[in-house]
Amino acid sequence: MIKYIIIGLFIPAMIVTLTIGIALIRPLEGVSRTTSYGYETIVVTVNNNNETVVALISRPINGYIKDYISSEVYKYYLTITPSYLYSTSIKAYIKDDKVLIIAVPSQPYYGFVVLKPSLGINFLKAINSVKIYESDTSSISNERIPLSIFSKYVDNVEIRIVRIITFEKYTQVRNILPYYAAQFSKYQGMYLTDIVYLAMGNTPAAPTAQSILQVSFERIAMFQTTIHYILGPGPQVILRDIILLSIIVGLLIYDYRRRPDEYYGLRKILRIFKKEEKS
Amino acid sequence: MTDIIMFRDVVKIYNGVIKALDKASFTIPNKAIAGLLGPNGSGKTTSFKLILGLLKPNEGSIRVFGMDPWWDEVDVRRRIGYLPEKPIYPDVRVYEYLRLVRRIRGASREDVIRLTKMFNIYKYLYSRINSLSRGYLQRLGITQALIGNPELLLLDEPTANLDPSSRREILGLIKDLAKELDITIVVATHILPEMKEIANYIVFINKGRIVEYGPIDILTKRYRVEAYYLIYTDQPRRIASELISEDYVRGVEIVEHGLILRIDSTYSELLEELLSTTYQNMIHGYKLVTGELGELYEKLEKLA
Amino acid sequence: MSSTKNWRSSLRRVNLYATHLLGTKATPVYVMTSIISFILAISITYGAYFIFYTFFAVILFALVLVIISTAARVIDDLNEGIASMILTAGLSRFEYILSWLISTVFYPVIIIALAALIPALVISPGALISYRVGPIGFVPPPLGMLIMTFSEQLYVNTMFALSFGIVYRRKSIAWVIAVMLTIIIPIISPMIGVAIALGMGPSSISYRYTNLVIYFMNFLFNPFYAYLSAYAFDPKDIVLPLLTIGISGVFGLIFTWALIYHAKHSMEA
Repeated sequence: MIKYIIIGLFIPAMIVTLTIGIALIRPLEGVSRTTSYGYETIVVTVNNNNETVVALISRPINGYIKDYISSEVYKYYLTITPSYLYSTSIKAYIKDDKVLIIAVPSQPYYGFVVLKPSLGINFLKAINSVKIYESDTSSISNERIPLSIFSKYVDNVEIRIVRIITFEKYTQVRNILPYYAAQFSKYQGMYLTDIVYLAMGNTPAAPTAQSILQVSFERIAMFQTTIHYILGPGPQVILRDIILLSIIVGLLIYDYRRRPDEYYGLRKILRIFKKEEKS
Repeated sequence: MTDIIMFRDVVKIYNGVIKALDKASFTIPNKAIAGLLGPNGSGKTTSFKLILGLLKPNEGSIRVFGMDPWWDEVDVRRRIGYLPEKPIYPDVRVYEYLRLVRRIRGASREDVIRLTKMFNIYKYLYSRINSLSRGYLQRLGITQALIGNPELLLLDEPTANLDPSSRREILGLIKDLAKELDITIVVATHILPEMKEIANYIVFINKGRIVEYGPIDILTKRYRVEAYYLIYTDQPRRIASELISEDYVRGVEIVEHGLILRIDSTYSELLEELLSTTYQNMIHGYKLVTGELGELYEKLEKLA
Repeated sequence: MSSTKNWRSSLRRVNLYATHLLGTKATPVYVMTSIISFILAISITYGAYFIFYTFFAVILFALVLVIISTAARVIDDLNEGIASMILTAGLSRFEYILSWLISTVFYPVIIIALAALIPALVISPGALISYRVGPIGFVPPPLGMLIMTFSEQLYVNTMFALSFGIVYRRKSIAWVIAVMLTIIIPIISPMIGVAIALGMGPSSISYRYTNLVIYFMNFLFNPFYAYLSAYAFDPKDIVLPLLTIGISGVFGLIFTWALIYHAKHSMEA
C-alpha cells in the first residue's frame, strides 16, 4: 500500500519540484488581466505660475486589484498605460505630465470641474499628499508596480489613478486644440489660461469655454491597466518542497527495505548503478 | 481423541426458504480422516462453509477447534486448509495468488516453493490461473489449502469433474497427504470407492439431516454390512478351508502372504476372538481393512 | 496487549489484500487516480485551478464511473465465490470489505485530495483559505473548500452506491445510485430551481432562489455541488458550507459504518 501512496504523492511533488526548478532558472511571466478605465473626474485649474493644470482621475481600481494577492511564488504587478497623445503639436506645450496613484477615503469632485486657482492649488496639494505611487507618464507604461504596495489600502480606501498635466504658460488654444478651436474661431488665438478663467466666470461665454475644455480633455482621460504575474519561488517555497521530497524519499527507503520485491523497477535501476560502480 | 469439529442442532436456511441443514449434529475427532458422504445437494458444501465461518447458522451451535467459526473467523480459518468444489480464483498469475495466501497466512516463501514442487505446479507459477487445466487447478487448490501448515484440511469433492487419470493422480496425492501429514482431513464426496481406501471415519448426510456418523469399523458392525479381514499367515489354505465352513464367512480369497476373509460384520468380534486364540500360532497378525462402504451407504440411504 | 496485536495483524492483512487489489483488480482506479492527480497538480501549481473548477463535473463523473465499475466487482466476487477463496486464506469479512474500500474508494479520494493540497501547500498556502487567488481575474471559492467538498462528494457518492450494492448483492443497484447521485440530481436540481423561481412570478425570477433550491437538493449527498451553489448565493457565508460539509460527512461515515457492520455481522460468502 505504501508503494501506491508513494506513487500518488510523487506525481504532484514532481510537478511542483519541476516547476520550481524551471522558475528558478528562468522566472515564468504572463498577463493575467487587462482592463481600460475611463475618467470619473476631470479637474481643470490654473496654478501659481499661471499655468493650466489638468487632473484626470479614474474610477476606483480596488475591485480590479483585490483579487490578486502575491504569494511566495506568484508575484503580481500592475502596469498603467495612459492614453497616448496622437497630436505631436500638443506634446511640445506640455511642461509636466505625471501619473499618480492615490488612496483616499473619497474625493470631493465628480465629473468635469473647473476650479478657481485658490481651490485648485489646495486640491492638487491634497492629491499629492495621498499619493502612494508617482511616475512620469512617458515611462510609466514600462514600470511594474508591485501589487503589494496596495495591500494595506485595498480594503479600506479608494485607490485611483490620477494623471496630472501641466501646460506651458503661453500655450494658445490653437496649439493644443487644433480641431475644436477651429469651430470657435474667435477663441483660437487666446491663451489656454484665459479660456480656463472664462470658464470659471459668470459670463455668457463661460459655457462655450467650458465645453471647449471638456471635449478636449475627455479624449485623453483613459487608462489601460494590466496585471502581470511572475512565477519565481522564494526560499521558503524551496524549503517546503525539500521537506515534501524528503518525506516521500524517506517513505520509499522505509518501504523498499521492508519489501524490496515490490519495487521491481527500482531494483533494476539500483542494480545498474551498482554494476557501474564495480566496473 | 478430542473432537475437532462439533455441530449441535445446526439449522441453515437459504433465503428463508431452502433448508440446507436440518438439526444437524455430529462430531469429527482430531486426526481423523473423515468422509462427509451424501448425495448431491445433501448439505455437504453448506457444512463446510459453516465450518469455515463463511455462513452463519440460523440455529444451533458449531465449534471448530473449540471456537465459534462465525465470530472467531480468522482464528479458525487460519488453521484450516480448504479446497472448494469449484474453486474460482481471481484472474491473476499463479505466483501472485500464492504470494497473497502466503502473506495472509504468514507462511514462509520456502514452504510455498516446496509445496509447488511437491504438487508439480512450480513450472506454471507465471501462468495466469485461468489458463490452467482442470487437473492443475485442482493441484493449485490443494497447494493453496496446505500453505501455512493447516491443522484441518477440508476437501470438497476433490475429484469431481476430473478425467480418470487426473482423478487417480489427485486421489494418490490425497492418500499421500493422509499418510504424511498428521492432521485431520475431511473429504466431502458422493463417490464411495474413493473413500474406501482412505477414510476411517464417516459422517453420512442426506437431505440436510445427519443420518449417522462415527468410525467406519463401528458403523460397519452396527449395520451388519460385510467386513474384510486381512490375515497374515504362512498357511492360508489351511485356515481358509477351516473357516469356509462357518456360516458368517461369505468369501475367502488367498493372496500373497495371507488371505482376505469377507464376513458378516456382526460376527467380527467372534472372528477376532477366534483369531487371537485358536489361530494364534498360525497367523502373524490380522487387520480389519474396511467395511463395504457401498452396502453401508445403501442401508443408510434407506434409513434416511 | 493481545487486542493491540490482533488489531495490528488485522491491519497488516488489510494492507496486504488492498495492495494486492491495487496491483490487480483495482488497477483502473489506480491509473485514473494518477491521471487526475496529474491534471490537478499541474492546474494548481500554475495557479490555473479554474481548469479543475471548469471541468469538475467531468472529472467527478469519470472518477465515480471508474470507482464504481471497479469496486462493484466485489459484488461479483461475493456472488461467484472468489471472495470465499480469499476469506478462507485467513481474512475476516470485515478485513475483506475494508481492503476493497481502501483500494477502490479511500485511495483515490485521499490521493486526489493530496494532489491538490500538496502543490497548494508548497506554492501558495494562502490559496487554501483565500477568497481571491489566481492569475486569471475571477474569484473562485477557496481551494481548501473546493477540495474538501469535492473529495467528500466523491466519497459519499461511491460509499452510498457501494453500500447498497454490497448489501443487496446487486451491481445494478450500485450503478443506479451512482448515476442518480452524480448525474441526475445535479442536472435536475437547477431545472427545478428555475421552475420554482419562475413559478413565484415574473418579479421573483431570482438567480439567488435557484441557487438555494440547488443547494437543498444536493446538500445531503453532493456537498460539492451544494457548496458551489451556496457560494454563488453568498460567497462570504460560512454557515451553509459548514452545514454541507458536516451533514454529508456524517452521511458518509454512517454508510461506511453500516457497510462494515453488515460485513461483520451478516455478510455471508
